[in-house]
Amino acid sequence: MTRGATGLVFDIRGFSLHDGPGLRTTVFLKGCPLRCRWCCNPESQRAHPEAVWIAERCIGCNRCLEVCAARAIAPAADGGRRIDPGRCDACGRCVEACPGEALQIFGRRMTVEAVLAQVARDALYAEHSGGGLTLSGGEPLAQPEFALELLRRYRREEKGAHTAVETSGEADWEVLEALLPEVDLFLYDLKHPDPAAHRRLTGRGNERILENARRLADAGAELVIRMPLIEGENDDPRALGAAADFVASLRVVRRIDLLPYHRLGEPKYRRLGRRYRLEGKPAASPGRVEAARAFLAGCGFEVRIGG
Amino acid sequence: MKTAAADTPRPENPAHHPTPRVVRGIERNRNTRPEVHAHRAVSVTRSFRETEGEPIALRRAKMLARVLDEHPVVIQEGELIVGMKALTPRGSPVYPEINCSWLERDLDRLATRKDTPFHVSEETKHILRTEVFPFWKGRQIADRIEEAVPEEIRRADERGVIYNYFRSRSIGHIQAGYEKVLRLGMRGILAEVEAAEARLDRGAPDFAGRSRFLESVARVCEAVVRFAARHAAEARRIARGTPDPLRRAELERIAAILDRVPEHPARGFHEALQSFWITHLVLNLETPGHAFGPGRFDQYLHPFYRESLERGELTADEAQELIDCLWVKFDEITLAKDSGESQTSSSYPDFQNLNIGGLTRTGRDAVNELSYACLNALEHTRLPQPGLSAQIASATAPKFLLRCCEVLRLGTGMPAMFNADVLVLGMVNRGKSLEDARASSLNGCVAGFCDGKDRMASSGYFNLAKALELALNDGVDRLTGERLGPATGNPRDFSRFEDVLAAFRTQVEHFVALKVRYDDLVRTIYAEHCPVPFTSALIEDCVAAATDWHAGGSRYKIATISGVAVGTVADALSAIRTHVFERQTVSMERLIAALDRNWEGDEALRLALVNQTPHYGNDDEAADALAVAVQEMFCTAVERHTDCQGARYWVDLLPTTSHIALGELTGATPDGRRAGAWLSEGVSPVQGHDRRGPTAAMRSVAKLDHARTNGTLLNLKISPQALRTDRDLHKLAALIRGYFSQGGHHVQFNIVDREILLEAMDHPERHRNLLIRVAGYSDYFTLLSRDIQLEILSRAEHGL
Repeated sequence: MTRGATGLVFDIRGFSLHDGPGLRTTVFLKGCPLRCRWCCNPESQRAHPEAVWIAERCIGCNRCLEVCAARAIAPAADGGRRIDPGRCDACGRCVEACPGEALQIFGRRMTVEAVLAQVARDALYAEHSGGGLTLSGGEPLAQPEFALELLRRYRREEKGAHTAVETSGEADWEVLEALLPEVDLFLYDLKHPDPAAHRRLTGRGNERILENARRLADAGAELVIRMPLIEGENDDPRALGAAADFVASLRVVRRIDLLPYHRLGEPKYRRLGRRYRLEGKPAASPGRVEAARAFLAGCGFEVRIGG
Repeated sequence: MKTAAADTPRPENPAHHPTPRVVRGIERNRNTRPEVHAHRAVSVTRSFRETEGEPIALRRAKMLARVLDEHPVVIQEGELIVGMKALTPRGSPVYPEINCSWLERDLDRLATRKDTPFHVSEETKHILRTEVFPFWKGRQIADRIEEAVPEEIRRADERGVIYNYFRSRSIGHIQAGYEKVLRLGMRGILAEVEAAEARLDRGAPDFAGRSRFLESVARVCEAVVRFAARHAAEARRIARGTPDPLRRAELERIAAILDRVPEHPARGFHEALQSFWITHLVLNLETPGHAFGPGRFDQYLHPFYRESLERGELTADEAQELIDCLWVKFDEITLAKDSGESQTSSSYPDFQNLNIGGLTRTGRDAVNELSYACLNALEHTRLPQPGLSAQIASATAPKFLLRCCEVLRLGTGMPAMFNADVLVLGMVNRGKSLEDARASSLNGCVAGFCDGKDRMASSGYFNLAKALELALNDGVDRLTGERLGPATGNPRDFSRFEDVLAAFRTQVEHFVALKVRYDDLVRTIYAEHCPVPFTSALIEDCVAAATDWHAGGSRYKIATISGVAVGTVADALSAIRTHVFERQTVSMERLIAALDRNWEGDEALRLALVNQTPHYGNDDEAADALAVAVQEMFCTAVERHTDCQGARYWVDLLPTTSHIALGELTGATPDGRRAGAWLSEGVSPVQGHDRRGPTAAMRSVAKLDHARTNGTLLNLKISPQALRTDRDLHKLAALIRGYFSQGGHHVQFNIVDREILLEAMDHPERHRNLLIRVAGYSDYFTLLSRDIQLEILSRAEHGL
């Protein structure tokens, strides 16, 4: 990839506390090959910009209808607005016109320079805390060249500051291999140890994910394993046991982060006009989270809740 | 690799618990309703009746002596440090000599008013009405100010452009030299008085006045000795009737301590704390001054602490209990204030700002074991008083900062964090010697002082948003239609953004000049009618120069004006520049009409100004530059003035809670704010307008020149999720260091708790920036449906 090329970014957040050491800036890249049922950031999944309408903020002034050249916005029967994703080309005119910030576009094309300029603003805080840059998503490996260029340039400009990548591992090994020299820490998801269950819960099997984890470990990468905990889906002793066996077999991993399921992402699905597939699923109960923590700690891992 | 323990959420240290007597003290304060008591007012009134015709310095000395001689002595169950400001904890005396008209007016409403109600018994009401109020008609300081204030200034005050708080409280802030009492005792001060008397030139025309001043100091010092003796006698009396031998021994020990201090220098920690407390009480009984600050408490008390531990008189735990007991005493202190005053500083706590950390006079890290003990006291008591301020310098040990962060996590909003390096820089710039600058502390909320040598008078607030309102209305109050300021032209004729700025500058300069006149007038009245011999005894060089503190006797003197609403004005200017002049999406005509109607029928315009304008607080160069320009304009207007005692004027940017009260008097502003709504607070961005997180907000705020002010205030909210583990404390510490390395003066963190979330549910407009982050999830709280909000509320309660 040449300089000045672009990636699809859906957020850049300073003061990121739990995505690696120190105070970090986390760059969220949009687009993910998985469709995890519990995903609390559904706006990060699709690999193109998406417009959403937020009912709570709409004052009903109709300016969005006037400015939308693609005629993608229409009044809905319930008095709200519907955005036709097929028609919307995410031009952003409705967002500019809306006085109430009721329209939002997730995902914008940004150059490496533009992203790094924003990241650099927090360099002082990163320096004071031993922090750095984290790429997250979506799935950062789904934009391999952009991700690589970001990390490489960041490392060069910030003189070897710390880098981390938060990933599902669902990518070709070559992608990870190329990133290896530029990444200090992989925050690596393990959603379910069983391929069939993994396919049912995320839409894809985990064969490549497990294989990539092993190759990263063999290559000497620093890995922290992150496990979402969803009651009745992956927190039973068998799944936990198999997960622990796998992580132990990697030999280099000492730490596992548990991410207890919560249903805070639900309203976002509604805004995006999508169905929430874990409706009615209770948030992880403290008792079961503790049981999982105790079990994994008993296997010799350093376990953190929430990362 | 760090240990797992560093990352496991930790319950608080079980050793960090207060002793039963401290718990009982906390409960006692909590369960006693605030009440007004008449004793002080009666003593003052009788004294003034009897001294009619005598010189004022002597009258004031006799007044304080009589207050102390007649003050009801109360020693409460289990106390180790004794002495009360009034009969009951959180009881308020009355200061009729300053202003009791407000109390007369509100007497029957005081118990039921919305802000800080006080109970008043029928007996107290009767005494005040028959014996106190009638005598003071026309004699109060407030009456004298009232008579002297010209119409133009009165109107500006009533309409909320400028505000002077010395009508109902006397001049503050007061940063007395407590150390002097600990080291010299009253006898030592009396010796100083004698020496000063001997140096007076008997032939000089001002000899009589100076001599009288010294006599007044001597009289109050003697009265303080008697005051302590009465407490000793009461302790002995109770001891005699106490069957429990342990408590009896404690009371006898207390009596022995009060036999000794504050008359003589303190020996050991217990004596020093008791001497400190009597001194603090007497200051509080002399005047209702605005903010009596304990100052660099951990510095001047540390030698006594060390001494007691080394001599084996006290264990560290026993010393800690004494400190905790003192914290309970601080929490007893309050003052019933005028409803107007109550709105600008709305709270029972009375600005007793206690500093820890910072630098020594030679520039080294000043943190000592007592600094930590003070943090423990806050952790043990969780009381709102004293206000705890931690001074953090580049030289400060990381361990201390981390412990501050750990205590901050408890959610009391304390300690407030101050940048000692910027404080010193600013103090030197304002004329202090380098050593004295390092010995400085914060007083009130965020104002810098040199302990025991200073007179800073932040005399009240300056409403920058109201000045902008006038600039956009040709000098006429938008709410009342009255002319308040100079005619700066019809805003509809402004053809360039610079015209707006020029009109604003003219209004600011006009009202700053008015404020300076106001201050001089007030200061002169206090100098002539309200000498303060005890305060003067504790502030250098009043005794040596034989000049009262109110008459300008202190070594250092500055004056300040507190600017309010920098953020609101910056965003309003940004809205005008963006929409009227750059994008030309709205005409000035239309904007002014919308302001006149308070946005009625113009919600789309209002929202466009709120949401489509670059705001201060997001590290946006253009918007932040406007905040910088506002500060520069205000500083330049203020710094050209000198007061009637030769003190130079400086700016500070602190609001207390005046941004609420002054907001009520301010019409709609172009940032989309509705008439009467809150103004922005201190140097904080407009509530909800900082959307890019704390680091961006800090970068914006740090663009202001903090060293050029005598104090700035930044309030940030932080989610409890962000501070779960010990490792997270390092991150908070880095955030603070980062802000301070960019030149920020002060920051305090409110942990996002139930209260804040509930307020955000009721007032989403103030909290649009409240980002909820749970593990990988993040969303704006005000966008969530009610049931999800309630879920987050319950998570907040469990600290998740």
